[in-house]
Amino acid sequence: MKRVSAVTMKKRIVTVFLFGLIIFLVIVIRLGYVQFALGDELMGKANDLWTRDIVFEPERGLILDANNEVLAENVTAPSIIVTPRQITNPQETAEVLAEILDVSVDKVFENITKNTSSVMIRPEGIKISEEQELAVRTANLEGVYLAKDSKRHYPFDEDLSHVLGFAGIDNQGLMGLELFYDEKLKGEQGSLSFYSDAKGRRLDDLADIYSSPADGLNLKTTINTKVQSIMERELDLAVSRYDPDGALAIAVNPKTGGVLGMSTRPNFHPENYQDVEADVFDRNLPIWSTYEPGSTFKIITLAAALEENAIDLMEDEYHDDGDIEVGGSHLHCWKSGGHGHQNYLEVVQNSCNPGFVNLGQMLGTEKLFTYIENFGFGRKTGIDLQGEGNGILFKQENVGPVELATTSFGQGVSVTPIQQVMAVAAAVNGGYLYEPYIADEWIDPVTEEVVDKKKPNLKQRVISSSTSEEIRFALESVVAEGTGRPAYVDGYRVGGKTGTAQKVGKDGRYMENNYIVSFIGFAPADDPEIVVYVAVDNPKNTVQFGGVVAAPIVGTIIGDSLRTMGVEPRDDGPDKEYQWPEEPKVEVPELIGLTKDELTEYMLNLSVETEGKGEYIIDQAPAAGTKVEQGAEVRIYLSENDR
Amino acid sequence: MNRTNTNKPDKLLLFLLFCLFIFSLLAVYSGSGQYVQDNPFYFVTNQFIWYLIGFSLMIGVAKFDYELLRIWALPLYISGVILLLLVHFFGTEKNGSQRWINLGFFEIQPSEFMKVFLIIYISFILSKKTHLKSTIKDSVPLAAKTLVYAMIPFLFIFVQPDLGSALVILGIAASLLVVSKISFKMIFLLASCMAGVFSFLIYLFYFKHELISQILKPHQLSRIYGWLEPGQYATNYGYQLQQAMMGIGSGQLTGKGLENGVQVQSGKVPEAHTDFIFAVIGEEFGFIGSSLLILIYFLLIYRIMQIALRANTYFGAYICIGTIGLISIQVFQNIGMTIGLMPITGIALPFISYGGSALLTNFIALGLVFSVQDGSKEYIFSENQIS
Repeated sequence: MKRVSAVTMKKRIVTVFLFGLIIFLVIVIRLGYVQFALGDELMGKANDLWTRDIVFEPERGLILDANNEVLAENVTAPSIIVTPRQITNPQETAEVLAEILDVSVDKVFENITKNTSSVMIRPEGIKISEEQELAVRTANLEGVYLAKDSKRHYPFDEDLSHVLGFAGIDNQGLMGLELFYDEKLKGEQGSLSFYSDAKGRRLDDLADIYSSPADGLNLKTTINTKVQSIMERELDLAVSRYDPDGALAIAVNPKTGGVLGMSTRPNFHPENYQDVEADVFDRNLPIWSTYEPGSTFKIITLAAALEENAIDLMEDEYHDDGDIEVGGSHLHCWKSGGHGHQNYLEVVQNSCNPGFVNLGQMLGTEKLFTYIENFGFGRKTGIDLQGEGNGILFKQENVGPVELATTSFGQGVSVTPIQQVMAVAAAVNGGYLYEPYIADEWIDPVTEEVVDKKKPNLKQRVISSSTSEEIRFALESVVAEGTGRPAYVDGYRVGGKTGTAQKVGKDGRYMENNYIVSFIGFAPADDPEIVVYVAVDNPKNTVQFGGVVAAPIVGTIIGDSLRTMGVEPRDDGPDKEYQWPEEPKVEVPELIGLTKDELTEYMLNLSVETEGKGEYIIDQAPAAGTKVEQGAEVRIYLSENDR
Repeated sequence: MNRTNTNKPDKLLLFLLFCLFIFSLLAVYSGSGQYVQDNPFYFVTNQFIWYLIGFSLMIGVAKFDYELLRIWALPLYISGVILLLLVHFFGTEKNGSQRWINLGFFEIQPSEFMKVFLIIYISFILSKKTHLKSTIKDSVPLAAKTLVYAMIPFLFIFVQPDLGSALVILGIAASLLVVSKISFKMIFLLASCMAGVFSFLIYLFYFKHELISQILKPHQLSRIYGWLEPGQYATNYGYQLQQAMMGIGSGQLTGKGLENGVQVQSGKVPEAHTDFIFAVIGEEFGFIGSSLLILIYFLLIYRIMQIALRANTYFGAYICIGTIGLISIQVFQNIGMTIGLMPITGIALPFISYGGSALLTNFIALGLVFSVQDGSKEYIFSENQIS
């Protein structure tokens, strides 16, 4: 071998080697890039692929009322899990399951013959009823298992349905509080993550990661189930009596803005929400509906006028001749011929439209509308429920004399029931406008500690406490002596205002003989504990007037509610002024100790029923001092011997 | 003739081989987890046996005087081609390619042995013409001859199809040509041609898709898709790459530790004990372990280069260079495909991947290197030595 050529070859060998070195360097550089630059990204991608999770469902938080009555809870309802590979006779199994679950055989068959390790029959086979569970157990089918699962149960059935809402098949909140507070109620899923191979087999070499589920927090609401039940009962009665297009009721604690009860008709059962049209469960009327409030709105005009010292209730007078001319058109009072000569307290008692127009005119557009806005109209109240309406007000620049006049007595504006309730609550509670709320406390389900408590949210001071006192006085007299008499509750000083709102039809005009009749009441007038609003949409078989339809409902709700709430009855309130055909109640006299003969000398407007024999009256029912209807029955017990 | 005691086998080479042996056992043990039925050591034990067989074979080859292979070069080459012919017509088909001959108890892969036979034969041809001048004119016949001898097995292997082995054949021929007496201009010309063909293929792939789909088999084509666009073809061939890269990428600096490579252990990386064994090393041993392995390979070819430089004869030097070509092209191919540098081809990582034929081939080639080393030291002052 020649030296020269050997050197050439050596050079070339080194060249090849250097070439190899470059290749190796390229590999190392690329490797470093993959492992460091791309590493994190690739790792993240890979982590998602690796883990198979066994999910541990958290327990959904309970919903409680203010007295810890359970409004929504979880009950066990097993789900059917089918392992297709273990089924020997799919056709037979499908037929049995289809029968139990009330689905088509084809659907079940298709499910249970899928090539997977396990399958569920959605949605029929999920959260099945007790009877279905028993049937599945009895059938004892191969490859068909019952998995522990729970579903939402609402012990009060239809009560409060729109507020509570409901949770779906995967325990997810879909409506109402269940939706609004879904994040807190649902808790967090726990999981057992284990690494698995491509075939889903478990890899035991790699440590499992267990994260325990965190149960949802319990929600304690401001709702009082007793008040709620009274409201539901009264609305049910109203529905059966008047067959209205809809009805709603709200009860609020005026001192905090906490909602005591809220109800809507038509309603639904949260566990079977699929049975009704979406319109039914979508529409929580107390917060969703907007309509012309009618006379209940006059409270705002009154509040503004009193706060601005525009009038003195007792001293200033107004003469109503039946209509008032505004901007060239005549606005009529609801009472034809008018109310004649009245002071302003009587204007309020009579709900006299021209009188309120006069108040509005005295205030002027700017002031009146400032008060309306301050009282919270035209914007959402901020209640913790979804689907709240805004209401519609005239824009101030568009308000002419007619608009000012109609707004003064509640026409031409559009408001939600909850806006009215909160505004009236502010008018009677000393002038404090609160934000309404339902969720009061969040309670840890394990430690039972209060995790979070809602503080009442005072939005604005709208009027002074002296003005508020005057309003309470005026509205109490409406119930005692004016249009709100049917709301009178003996012992609880009820104040309130009727409303008869015209509805705007599809053609944009007011509909005839179709009103939303309403009443807003509060009690006791010296220190209001409750504000109740009831509206009945298009009641049939009656005079469509708020005082006739809605006032007695509000009266009953207030009376019964205050009793269950343990509010002391008052005895310093004004007596009800009776109008024919109403008759004042009579007080049962003390009869015990009298003789039968002496009884006949009494001018009794009662019918007497006797028990026992003898001359002497030894006991009576009802007891002396009880007020009863005229002609009511009094039972007396007779004996031969005086006591 | 000064007989020294330096005829002992090269210690560094043996040490490197031992390192690879340890690497291999660990990686095969870990990577085979997903295929193991009851005995987790099944593949490791087999690999151990393969190593024993390979090592014995290597010693046998090393003891054999490589100079005698000059006589056997042509017959070996011819028998290799005949075996490829047999495969072509009577071979067993697996996974869409026909690479194996079933000997009843044992399946052999002639393309593997062909690699060694080709090294020997081309080395022989090139070593016969050591005195020509480095001009283009003189280079033509030799270059042509070499290319023809390389192209015959290349085509047979290519149509099996086994793109990986075919590229190894080309790699061997190319590295030998570079070192040979052939003019650099000629080499440059050939390299340009190769680059041209490659560019043309890429061009076809992107712009004349219908044409290339007729030339390449669907599975080769989809591997190229998987390589060039792994994201888009994540479900099939790109999937393998994606999965392997996820594993390697998540290994980061230190790796997850033996048997803790999630991507590998979960069976997401296919063939983790054979073709994709680098994914095991990358994921479980991290950048440190992977670089160490690459360093070992580098030292291995560095050592073989030193032996080539000290070889007594051109024939011996060429054999060493051919072996360098054989090993480095496999390493580049294999590691390259798992980290997205190369398209996926069914090629083993030398001395690491589980498996018979390829391992034996590499041992035989290394045996030849030992034989060359043995010879070079025997006649340290020989006139024939290239120094």
